[in-house]
Amino acid sequence: MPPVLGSTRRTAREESPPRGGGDRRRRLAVGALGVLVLAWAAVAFLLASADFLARLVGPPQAVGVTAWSPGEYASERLADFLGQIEPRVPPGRVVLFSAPAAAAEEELFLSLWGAYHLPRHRVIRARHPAAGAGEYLVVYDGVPPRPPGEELFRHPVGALYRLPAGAR
Amino acid sequence: MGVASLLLVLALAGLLGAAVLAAADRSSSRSVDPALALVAGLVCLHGLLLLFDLAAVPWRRAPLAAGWVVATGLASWLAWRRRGPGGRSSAATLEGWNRPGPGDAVAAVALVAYAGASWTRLITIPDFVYHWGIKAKRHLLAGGIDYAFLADPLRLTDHPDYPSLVPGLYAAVGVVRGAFHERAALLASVAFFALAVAATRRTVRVARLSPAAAQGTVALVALVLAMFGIGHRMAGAADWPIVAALLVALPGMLAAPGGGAEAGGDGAMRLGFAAALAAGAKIEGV
Repeated sequence: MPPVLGSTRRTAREESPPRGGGDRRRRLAVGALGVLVLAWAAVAFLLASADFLARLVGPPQAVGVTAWSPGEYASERLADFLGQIEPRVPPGRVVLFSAPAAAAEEELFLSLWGAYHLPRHRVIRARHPAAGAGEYLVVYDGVPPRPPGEELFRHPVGALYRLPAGAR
Repeated sequence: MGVASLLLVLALAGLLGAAVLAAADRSSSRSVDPALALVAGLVCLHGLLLLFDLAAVPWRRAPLAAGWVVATGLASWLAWRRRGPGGRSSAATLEGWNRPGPGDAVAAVALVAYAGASWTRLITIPDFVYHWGIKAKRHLLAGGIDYAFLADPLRLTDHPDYPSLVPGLYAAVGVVRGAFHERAALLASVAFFALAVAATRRTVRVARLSPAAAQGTVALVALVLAMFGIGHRMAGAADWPIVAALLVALPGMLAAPGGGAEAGGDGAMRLGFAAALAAGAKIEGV
């Protein structure tokens, strides 16, 4: 096995007569490098922890859906909304997820959050090519001026509609 | 209750892994590395879940408990036959481990910090929501791998081809608890963190580092893992098993030929189970 950095296993070179201060200087340099790397890791860990603590105790930040985590204000609002929708839609139904105020990419990620919180259903974004298969519509962060179907539930962050058969 | 379910699943997996290692070990080793036992157990649990899936046996408490009893009993019996009544027990031992030092204390602080941050769920990787968590929920509801979901023509999931070890583990915890538990699933990452640190401790021993270098290495690995895990929101990530697998494999790679006992088990099995864990977690693990 090749010698490992910092190893105490004696190699042939180490068993040869001492060469004076050269080896000592090399060991000191390797040790100093190790201490520096360890110090960098400690500082990086402390900075990451401080950033996390600021998020934990600070006011809710308005962040895009791609930066959401469970437990955050925005994602918990959505979770609460969808948690109340879940028993109102029969399992296995196709649920369209619409976020009129969001860009197309954001709506995609919001619909993935919708699928996570509605695992008994088939959730796709409203702008999906297969949206015609939708049987229910979840509108998040905004209510359409004209109801697209029968309104089943309304929540401060959105509403649930049953889509008419002709609309599919 | 959710965390207790996770701990129970990990403990049962560790016992199964220790029994399998004892049955299959060709070395003269008299000790089993607990980290390797857990890795082997998680791989065996994955295999058990896949076997149940192929046999259309639902992932429910009773069948899984029966499967665990049969697998662990069979492995223990094979180990007993191989070694005889006076041979090694399949229980993991800690013989020969380094004494705790300041590096271990730093590692413990880093581990606790990461566990606390994971507990808040604020460092959850988005992929947990988009892939691993939703798959675990669907598998749990389906009582097995939900192929209808993975193959849905509406393309409900973007990565149906990813391996199922991680969602399977989350689902197994849910089976024990009776429902999916988000926090318990996220804390599985902490178990892999601990596994990585334990594997590093064994690695520095096999590499015969000086005490200062050994403690520094353990502290360095733990600090970097915690920094990355907290700073880059890695709770619930499927990358943790790959990290743990690499570090668990290292003693086997560093050990001198015939040094299986020093590495804590047969080197080939160590590498094999570590590779299986990595490959089962993510395509990138291959």
